[in-house]
Amino acid sequence: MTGFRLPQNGDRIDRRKPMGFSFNGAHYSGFYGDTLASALLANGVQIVGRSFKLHRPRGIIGAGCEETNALVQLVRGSSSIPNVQATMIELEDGLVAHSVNAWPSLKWDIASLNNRLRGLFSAGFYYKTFIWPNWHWFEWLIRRAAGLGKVPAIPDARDYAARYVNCDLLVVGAGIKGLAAAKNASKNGKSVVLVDMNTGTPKLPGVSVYEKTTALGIWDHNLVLAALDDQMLLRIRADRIILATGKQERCIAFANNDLPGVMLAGAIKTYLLDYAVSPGHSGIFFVNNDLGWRTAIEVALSGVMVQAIVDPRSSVAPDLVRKATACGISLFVGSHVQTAHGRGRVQSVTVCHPDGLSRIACDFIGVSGGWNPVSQLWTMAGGQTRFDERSQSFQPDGRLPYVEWAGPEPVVAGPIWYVSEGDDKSKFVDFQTDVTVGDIKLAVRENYRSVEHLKRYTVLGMGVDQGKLGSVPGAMILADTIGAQRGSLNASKVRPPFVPTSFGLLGADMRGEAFRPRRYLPAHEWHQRQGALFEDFGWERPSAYLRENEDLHSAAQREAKSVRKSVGLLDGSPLGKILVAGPDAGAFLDRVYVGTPSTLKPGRIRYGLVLNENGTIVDDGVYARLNNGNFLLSPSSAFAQKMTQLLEDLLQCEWPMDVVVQDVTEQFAVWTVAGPKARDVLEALQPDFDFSREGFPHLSVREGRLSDTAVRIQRVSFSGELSYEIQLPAGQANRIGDALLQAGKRFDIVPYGIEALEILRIEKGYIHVGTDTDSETQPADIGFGGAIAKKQSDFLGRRSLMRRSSNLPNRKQLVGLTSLCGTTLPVGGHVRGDNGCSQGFVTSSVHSPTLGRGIALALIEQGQRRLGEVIEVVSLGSKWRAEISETVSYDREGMCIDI
Amino acid sequence: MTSDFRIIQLTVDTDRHAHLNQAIEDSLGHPLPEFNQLYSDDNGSLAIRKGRCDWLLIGPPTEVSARHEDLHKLLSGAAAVISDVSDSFVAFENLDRDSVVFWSGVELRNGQAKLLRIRQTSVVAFCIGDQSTVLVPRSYQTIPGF
Repeated sequence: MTGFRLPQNGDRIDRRKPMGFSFNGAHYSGFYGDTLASALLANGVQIVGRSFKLHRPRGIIGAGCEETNALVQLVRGSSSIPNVQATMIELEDGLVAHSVNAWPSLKWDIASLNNRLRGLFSAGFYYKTFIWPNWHWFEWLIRRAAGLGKVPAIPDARDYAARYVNCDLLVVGAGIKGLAAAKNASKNGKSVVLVDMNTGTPKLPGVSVYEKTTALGIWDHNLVLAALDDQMLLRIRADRIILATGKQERCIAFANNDLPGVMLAGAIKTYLLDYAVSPGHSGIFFVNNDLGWRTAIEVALSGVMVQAIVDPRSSVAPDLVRKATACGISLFVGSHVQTAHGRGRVQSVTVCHPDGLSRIACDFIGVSGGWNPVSQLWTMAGGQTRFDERSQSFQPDGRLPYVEWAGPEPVVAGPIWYVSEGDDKSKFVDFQTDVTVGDIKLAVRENYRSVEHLKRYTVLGMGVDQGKLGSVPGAMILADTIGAQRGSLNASKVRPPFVPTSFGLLGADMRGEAFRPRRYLPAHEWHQRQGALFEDFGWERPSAYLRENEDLHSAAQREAKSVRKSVGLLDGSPLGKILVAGPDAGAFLDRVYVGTPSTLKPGRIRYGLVLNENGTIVDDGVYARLNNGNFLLSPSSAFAQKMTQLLEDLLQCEWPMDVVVQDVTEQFAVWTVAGPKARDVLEALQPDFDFSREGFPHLSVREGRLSDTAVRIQRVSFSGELSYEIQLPAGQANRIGDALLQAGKRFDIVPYGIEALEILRIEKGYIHVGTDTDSETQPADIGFGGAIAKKQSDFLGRRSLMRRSSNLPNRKQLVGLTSLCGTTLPVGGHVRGDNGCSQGFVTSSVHSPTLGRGIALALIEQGQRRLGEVIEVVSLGSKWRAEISETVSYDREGMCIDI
Repeated sequence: MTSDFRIIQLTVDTDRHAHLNQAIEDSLGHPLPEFNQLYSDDNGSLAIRKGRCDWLLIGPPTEVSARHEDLHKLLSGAAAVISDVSDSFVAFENLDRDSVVFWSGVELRNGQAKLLRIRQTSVVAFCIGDQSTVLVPRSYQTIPGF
């Protein structure tokens, strides 16, 4: 044996391919096929981490996803991943890992003082100790101590992906039962997918095998998410699922059972046979089942000294006794391990046997407290379990419609969860969170008698391993302590994911650009040609079109001035376009809008507000009655999709009227031509209908042809100027954009963006719902109380407008503000009252190039009664003076809109 | 959609007005398909049910124009909307089955038409033979990586 690496065994490693790696700055070597855990053990590294609360030194305890001690910070280039189980990391040449939760070093950890002061850190200590005089006094300390590992400061650079997999049968687990199920189904012509978290699965004809793939959870409609090598998220839909997930070994709690060198017996066997690694030179096995005996015998046969097998059961199968004796192993039947001794690692154990106590020198202890089925996925799918007395475990029970349990036969085990002698406070049940038998008993004394309460009070099972080792023993010890029938308390609820999973993987293909898909205007290329500066407003829209030596502000000022002076061109394509048709369309829309669409004449347009059931404004926009009697709604860009959903919801669930709704937003691009010269520009494109002031009045709609293209034009304005919104097939957007630019050349037409539009609408006091309204703003607050008073019929939200709170005198009302400081007012700045309290806030603010001063819109308590009052606006420690004014700052008579 | 085809969207509540269902089918010369079904014929005409009251009728421009006009006459005054929505979609054609499964998680078989989600975007997809076509809303045309 070289160090802890054996010359024989090692099915998973390739000794011809050595690999170097570093752990906590020290350099080691391993072989291709090693895990980080097996390589550390092979190099004799015993302490791999510190426990969360007491900072006790901890060694590797398992060999798979149950590992609870060996958590490392895995360095990947300039980033790193915290809390990765060393047992799940495949060794790579040059791999760098660090331990977590220790400072300044793993060996000399200053926080290990906690262990000396452990009397202060009993279960629920933070609920008892940090409540006086004020919890927040201790908050910084708790925040500093909380968590394991470090969250990387830079974005996770790994390239995650996701893919969908559909199949007739999904088999989870490539053990004997899993392979058999997959093979049979494949023979019967089914499409079969087999996933397993390990490698080495044999190839089966017709079966898609995913190795290094862990099923994370089962959701409704047979959706299984699985992580392939922590890089790809598989979304698997299967008609049927077979769970062949095997079994998981348990611990037995005895004094100092957390010393490095104490390991699960099965893990020792895995390291020995698969990786040719021995956890030490000489050990004992503390087991309560025959499988534990066989493991001990196999270890001895592999050349590692096994000094004793300790079994609390009163009798053991004679052939096991014979085989163990033949290996030279001392046998202690009807006995138990009382205490492990050692400093930094196991050096000896005290065994309590019928004849007294014996102390045995050893450097590892294999523990097997029986086996639990790996039934987490089964319970996630809604499956039940029952307590099996013989195996002392909770076995899947009953049937599920599409999920089948194909686990192993239960392993008969003696009923022991912890050793009664010794200090309960050093018998660890949950290693990572330092929950001991003593903590559970304390929780019971404090009347936490439910498993779920126990979990939250002691944090049992709340570590990275999610209670794979501690939850079931914890529940059994709780049942023993309160005198409940054994098996009457199951472990706490299991939730996905089954193994620690990075957020990046869960996001997978919905990260970055794909998190919120970008929407592009039909004339996106046209805008690029004009030098647009794009911004994401739900759609990629031009903020402004920068010219030489211009910034966003100066470009927006120039564009707004041009619209006021001559003419401008805006892409309004994101505006909603919803057709509503049917004999009941008018009556239906009367219920949706505050106004009365049913009285609208064909060819005319009206402005309306939409409220929710609470009476709050959720959208505004115009609606038109087309010449064929149908309605065309133009909800705001942000509300377009929601408006369609709202109308469908109302029709299908609330008011089954004879109406249909069709959203044609995608079909039509919209060019808005606004400014005193707008009519001249459009007339140059030879429309086939009357464009005169009288023939096409404000708030009307016309359909016809413009520049040889079928168009629908609405004469409406969001700028306060003469304005036409031209709807045309999206595929024609570029061409008509060019034609409009050409036709407007002699009027110095300019394309203008959202920033200029903001200036224009604020000058005119036009609201932007969601910006100039909040979640309480009702129609009367923005000056639309009259429309409601006139309307006889019912509409959405009306009842809420009659509530007392809707008519309180101190409601916030929309007003204009004029800056008296020569600068613009800060959006979000609060209007400070005499008593120092906020009386409202600034909702929109710009510098008006036309008026030459800062103007704003604001929601202010009783604002409409306070016109002319000088107020103080405060924001981030600065102050501004402003005068409350009417919302309309420009062209109050409305002359420009109808020239 | 490619220049070879046009699409009209027919929105009509055939549950409420059962008599219209027959009249529309007579006018079209084929049944209005159910969800997940694709109607197709030798002339290249296709029909897909897109919503509770919505069907997409796809075909060569002349044929679609004629249908549009016929339906317009037939449904005048009824609770119905017929719109040319050819510019609403960008078509990704000749996709194999695996590509559709990879991007949407749904397997399309010959003669099926389904409403799918690709990268959080609603799309319409249909399959003829081994080849699928996905109609992506125009504004989201950069979403799929086909």
